Amino acid sequence: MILKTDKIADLLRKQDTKDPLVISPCPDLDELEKSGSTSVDLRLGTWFVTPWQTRMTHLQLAEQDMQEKLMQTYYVSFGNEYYLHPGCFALGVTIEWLRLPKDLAGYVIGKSSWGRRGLIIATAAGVHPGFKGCLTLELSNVGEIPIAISPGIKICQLCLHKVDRMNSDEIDKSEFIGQRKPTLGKIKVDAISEKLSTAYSLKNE
Amino acid sequence: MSILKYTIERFSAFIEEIERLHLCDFPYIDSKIAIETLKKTFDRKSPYLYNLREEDDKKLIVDKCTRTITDIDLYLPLLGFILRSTDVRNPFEIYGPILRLVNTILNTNTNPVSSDNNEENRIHLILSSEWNYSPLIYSGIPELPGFLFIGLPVFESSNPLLIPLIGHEMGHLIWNMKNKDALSRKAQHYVLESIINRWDDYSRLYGLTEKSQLTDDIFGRETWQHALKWALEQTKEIYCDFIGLSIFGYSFLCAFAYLLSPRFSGSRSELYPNLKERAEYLTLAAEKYDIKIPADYLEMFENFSGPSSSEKDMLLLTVADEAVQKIVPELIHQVDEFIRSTKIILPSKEERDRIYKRFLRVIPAEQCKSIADILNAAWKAYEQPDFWKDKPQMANNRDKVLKELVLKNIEIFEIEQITGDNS
Repeated sequence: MILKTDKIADLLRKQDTKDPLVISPCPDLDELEKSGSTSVDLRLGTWFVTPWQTRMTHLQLAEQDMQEKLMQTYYVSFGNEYYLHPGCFALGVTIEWLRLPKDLAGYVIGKSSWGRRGLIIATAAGVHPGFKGCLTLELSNVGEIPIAISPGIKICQLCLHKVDRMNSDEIDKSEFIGQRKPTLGKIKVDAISEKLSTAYSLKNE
Repeated sequence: MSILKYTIERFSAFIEEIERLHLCDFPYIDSKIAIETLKKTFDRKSPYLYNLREEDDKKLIVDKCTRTITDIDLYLPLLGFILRSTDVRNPFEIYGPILRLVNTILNTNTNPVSSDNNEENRIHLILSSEWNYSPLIYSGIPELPGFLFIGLPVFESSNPLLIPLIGHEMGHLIWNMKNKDALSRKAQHYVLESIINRWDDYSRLYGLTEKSQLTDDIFGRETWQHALKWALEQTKEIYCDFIGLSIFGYSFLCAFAYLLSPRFSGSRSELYPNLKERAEYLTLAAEKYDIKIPADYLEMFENFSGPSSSEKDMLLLTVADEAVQKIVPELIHQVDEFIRSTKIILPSKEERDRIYKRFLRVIPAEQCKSIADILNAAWKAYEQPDFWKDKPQMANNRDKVLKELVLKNIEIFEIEQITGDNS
């Protein structure tokens, strides 16, 4: 069941519990409580990452290159803007550092006000129990005019829901833990996809 | 072939490079202001070169060309430093808190920065990185007197644990604005006292017959000027160390050891105390300031060898070192008095422990009172071998996550300052 904002505010007030929900900087809890909504707004951070188009012909699943080889990083200080042009894609990050307890999971969705202007946010939206760090956001301008976005604006919303309490060894072990910058991450290739990817290959060895 | 033509070509290319730099994507305005100031400086100098003609006096041409090349040689590394302030390896999150800190320190006590704290009079901060191991300072640039240049070695430039070393650089700004007459007199007194204590050696090496020659004879006075100069330079460096220590506390000691222990190879500079002595002075000050000293601290450092100078110079260096040793208690007192007269918030053990407890849960602390408390908590965590032992997610990248968390905490501290949420 998705948590209502009064419940989220209640959890955010209980910072001294053993396994707290943390959103830092903390949103205005009175405002959150009164919003009568089912999500918390999160703000855009200062770091951006974009594909290094002049450096590669395409992205290859099997090649797990370093992020630095594939992507360029930018810093935009508060008070300045990042311009996302039509058809362009960038990774952003939330200002907020999150900590999810073992019995909560979440998902990130865009804000309709941005979506209606062509800015699509967060397509890989799941946030697992035990997650700690800033959320990487996938930003894409599907509109026809460039969009200026500034660090600090409300960019997306986080919905939270209860899950069966997990053990310490079951909680999120992903590489995205503990990051303050957008992270590309690695695409995991499992045994089945590896076998299928080499069957009937047209490539000459 | 023409040296004038060559110099004009080089100078023009240098100016073009400055203009190109101005177009860089600087994250903060201060780098741009520095470039603009340097551009104006060179624009002022340009007529002296451009108005020269081949038929002018050869000596005049050589003189102007030499000066131009010297200027280019002086400013070129600085331009590189400013260019590197655009590099995303820099921990840009610290810009605001450090700028706030340095302006708080200087506005309350000194005149070059006016008390109205407007944009023009504030201290400017350029946060960059060095391709030198030893952090450089460019405090000797006359055109940029109100600029603080911070550059840690490039591979450590994003390491927040070393931020306390910025305190030493802040010390240089404070030192430059300080009235040093009384300290100079004291240094001179101790230099002479040390020479008299070694009179047999000194008189033999310098051919003096009477002690009164040290002060009354122009040639006698000249013999110890180097010792005085070295003593004053060392005094400055120790003063700056104590400023860093006072502002950042325990974390300054740790960062100092992290970067400088055990020592570099090569011989000792006369302008610095030998490394072990320098660390010892830090511990003396730490005791006075009630700052915890890391275990076995002094054992981490080794003295530099040399310098391989003449017997005469070695004696002068010994004299300088002895004079400095006697000045140290006065410096400890002066720095303490200065820092307490400012409005900065001194490190607190309670705050450090509160933030540390948040770090234990892998979360930043809100409502922090100073960046020093965040860094002291960070060092406490970094030094705990079992920190996050209970968190399997952190097993492989403990230090990396800690550094990310610290920088995020510093950013949150700054956001609270901007929005007024820190009360």
